Amino acid sequence: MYDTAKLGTDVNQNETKISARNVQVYYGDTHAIKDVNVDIEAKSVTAFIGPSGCGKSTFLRCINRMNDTIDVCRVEGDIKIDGEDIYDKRVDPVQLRAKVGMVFQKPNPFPKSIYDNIAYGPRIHGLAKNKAELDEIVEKSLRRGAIWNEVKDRLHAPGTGLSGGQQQRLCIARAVATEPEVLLMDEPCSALDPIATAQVEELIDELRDQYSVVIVTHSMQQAARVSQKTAFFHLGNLVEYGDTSQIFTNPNDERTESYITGRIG
Amino acid sequence: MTDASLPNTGGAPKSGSLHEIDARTKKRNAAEKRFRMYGVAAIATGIIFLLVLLFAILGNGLGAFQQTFISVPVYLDESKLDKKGNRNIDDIKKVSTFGYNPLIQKAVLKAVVDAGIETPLKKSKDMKALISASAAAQVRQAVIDNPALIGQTVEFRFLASSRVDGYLKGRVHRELLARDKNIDAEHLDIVDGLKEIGVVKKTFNSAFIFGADASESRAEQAGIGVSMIGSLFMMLVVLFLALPIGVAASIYLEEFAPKNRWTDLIEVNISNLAAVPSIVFGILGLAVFIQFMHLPQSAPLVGGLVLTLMTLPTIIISTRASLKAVPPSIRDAALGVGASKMQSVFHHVLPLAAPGILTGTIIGLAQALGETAPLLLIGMVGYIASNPPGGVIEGLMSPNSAMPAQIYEWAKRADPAYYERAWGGIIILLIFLVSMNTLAVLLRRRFERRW
Amino acid sequence: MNDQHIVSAFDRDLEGIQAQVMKMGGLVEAAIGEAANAMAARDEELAAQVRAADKAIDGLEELINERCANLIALRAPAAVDLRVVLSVMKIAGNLERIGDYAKNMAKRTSVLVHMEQVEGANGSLKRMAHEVQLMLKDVLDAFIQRDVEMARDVLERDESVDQMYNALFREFLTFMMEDPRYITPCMHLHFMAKNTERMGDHVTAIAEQVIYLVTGSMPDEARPKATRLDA
Repeated sequence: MYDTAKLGTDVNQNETKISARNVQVYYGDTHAIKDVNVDIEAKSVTAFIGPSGCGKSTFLRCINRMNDTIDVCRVEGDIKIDGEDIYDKRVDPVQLRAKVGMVFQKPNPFPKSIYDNIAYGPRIHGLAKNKAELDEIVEKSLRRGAIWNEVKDRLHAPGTGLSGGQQQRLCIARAVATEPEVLLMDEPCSALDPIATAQVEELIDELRDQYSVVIVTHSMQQAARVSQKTAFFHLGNLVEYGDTSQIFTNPNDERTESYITGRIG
Repeated sequence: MTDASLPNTGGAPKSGSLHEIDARTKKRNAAEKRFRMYGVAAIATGIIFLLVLLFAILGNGLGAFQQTFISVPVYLDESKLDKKGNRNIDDIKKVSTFGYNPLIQKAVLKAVVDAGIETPLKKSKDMKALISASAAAQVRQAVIDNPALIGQTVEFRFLASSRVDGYLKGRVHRELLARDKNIDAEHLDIVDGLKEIGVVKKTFNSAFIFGADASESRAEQAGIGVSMIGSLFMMLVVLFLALPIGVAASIYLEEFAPKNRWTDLIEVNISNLAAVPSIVFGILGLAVFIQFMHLPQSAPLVGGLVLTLMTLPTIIISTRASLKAVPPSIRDAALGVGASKMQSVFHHVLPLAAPGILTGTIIGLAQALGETAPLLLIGMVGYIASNPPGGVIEGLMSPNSAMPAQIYEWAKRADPAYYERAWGGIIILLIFLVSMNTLAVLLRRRFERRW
Repeated sequence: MNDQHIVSAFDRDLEGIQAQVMKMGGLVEAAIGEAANAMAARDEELAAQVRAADKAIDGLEELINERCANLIALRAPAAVDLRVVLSVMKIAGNLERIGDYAKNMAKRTSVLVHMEQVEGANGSLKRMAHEVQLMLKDVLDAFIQRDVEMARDVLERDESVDQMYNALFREFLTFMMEDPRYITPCMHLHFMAKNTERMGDHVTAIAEQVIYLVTGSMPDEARPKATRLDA
């Protein structure tokens, strides 16, 4: 029998990458996120879990200001990446999103070739000076996305022709291509079969050595499998945040316990 | 484990055999069958109407594509055409078409006599009813173009008069001649005779497709070509104004505009504009473009502007629909890799919406092409342009008509020959519309992608 | 955490395995009592019954392990559910060991009845066994009621069992030094006392499982240990 309290200290205490303080999000009159405080570590996987409508996706989308595109959405409080407030007036969300990549629930490759899918981000951000450099970025990103071997012979085939799992890895590779520091994933496996899910999860684990990964998931098992830290959201509140092993064996809050054990309440 | 699966206690077992259909099922099946019958009946009715319409149009209109011609050698008498004999072009021009008519009539009479046709009509004047009034102008033009022809005998192919043409097409009947002052039974005898030796002949009439409209009394000469050019210029105006304005407006409204009371109001009004009767746009065009801005009347430019106003709502609505149809995940994907709003729209959303936009635009153009009412008010109906315009500027600014307006004009005229031409014009208009719609379908098929 | 699971079959599974543990606990409790009684009364027949009854205990342990494995595989329990399953498996293992010690006592009883009786020692040993039996009863109650206080109480009480063992150890030592003929029965009796002391340790292990099950962490303070063999 192991001691969970001791295990918590075994996880090396990384530096904080994203720090949120008193974050409130309103959708019109609805108070969607209530006073969330959280420190997300660099080079680790943080999972957001919680029932539907608990605000976990909303909070995730605050981190790269995707909520800006929704007119009625209003964000208060501080979200800092490396100590810089991302809601500062001087921050251009476009620049921010290059630094904070995002992968979505449904694989959404552009209806273009695999190559163009990856090259799009570097092109608009001017990361490559010439074709050779761009080729290099594409290959590197596809390798990072653990899909290079499957697509290297058909880089100019449409990205939409890949299988669901391949499409999602392509999307991850696309997000990686702009050299982000943080990767946000909004239920990246919910549209995938178990094998593809396992491949993506393996990839997420590999990505941890370079990026801070924040993943929203409905599957508690997935959160347990891929993350080091888990945050449980409920009705817009961050109920509990801690080491994944602790959350899944001995959560502090009764609401967390009810949720992860599948109880009514 | 022991009780992991609940015993199925609920639900009484079904009574009766599956091999017997119960009354309720029979009733439902019958209702479904009836509904299918209604559907088939409705479609059949539609198809019947369409066929009737098609047969009526083809039956009435195909005649317009053929025309009766009379080919005769004409002796261009120097004593009549160039009295001074010095071939001075100015002197030759002084001879009006009246000077040519006797020569032509004489030539026709000669042909009749040569053919050995027995007829009480012995005078050359009697031949007037056989030949189109345009014949004299045709010969005069040939002489002015080449004065050396004077004194020679030249073979000409004249349009037969609309009565002769109608007789050959079965439109003019001998029994009804008593009421017709333009032609007598004797003339028809001559026509029969000349037809046998091949002097009178019915051939394909390219002048109908490419020619200009003619006066009321010369139905045989009228063509839809010039008004087709008028329509073409109008469509160019519509395309170059409505497409960019419509697409820009749609993109702004759909992708950029804040969703508030004002944009809601604009949206509702755009939808309402699409339902405004086209004649209202006509009177708007009259008031704004002609009376206020003093643009020329009857010009395709003004017509095009009016039709642009009319087409814009259609294009905006269809463009917005196709923008909406682009899955939001594509926008998210673009924004997610750090594209700006505009980049995401122009690099990803617009190309995906393009087939829909093009389809909407083509259908809007087709609608504009067939529109008559607004043209009534800006004077594009009833104007007879006798010559095709000389260039783009002239094409836009000089008065012209449009195909549907021309058809409307023809349908109004008294001569039954024009009735035939109106149907013929409709065939051409329909060919345009069908080919535009086909193009729209093809574009949609070709570019529509699944994502 | 009185709330029920959304999937009610999960509740039934969990309750099922806990009921099996309680049943097993009941059997083990009886085995301790009867083994002690057989020893005290020199009842060979009762001892044979205790030995036979151990098969049922082993069978139950196997059943519980199988059902726990199924539950883990099919329901993926987390948090308190996971702790229930884990502790049930451990408790079943401990109970099985206690059952084995009881069986071993019964075995030695069968041998002892054919030897000279060691006067006085039987009573102490029986009292000790009954104390352990009582502790087991209490810890099972603590388990089913999720009562941490009661479990801690059981932990404390193990000290007295250890002291009783130490006392018996010295007593047997005295007997053996007095008369070498007592060596064999006393060795047997000493093993039985040692078995009983081990049973007490297993009961405390169960108490620790109960504390882990409820609190999510093992009791951190060192368990009171009086087993100093300083003789």
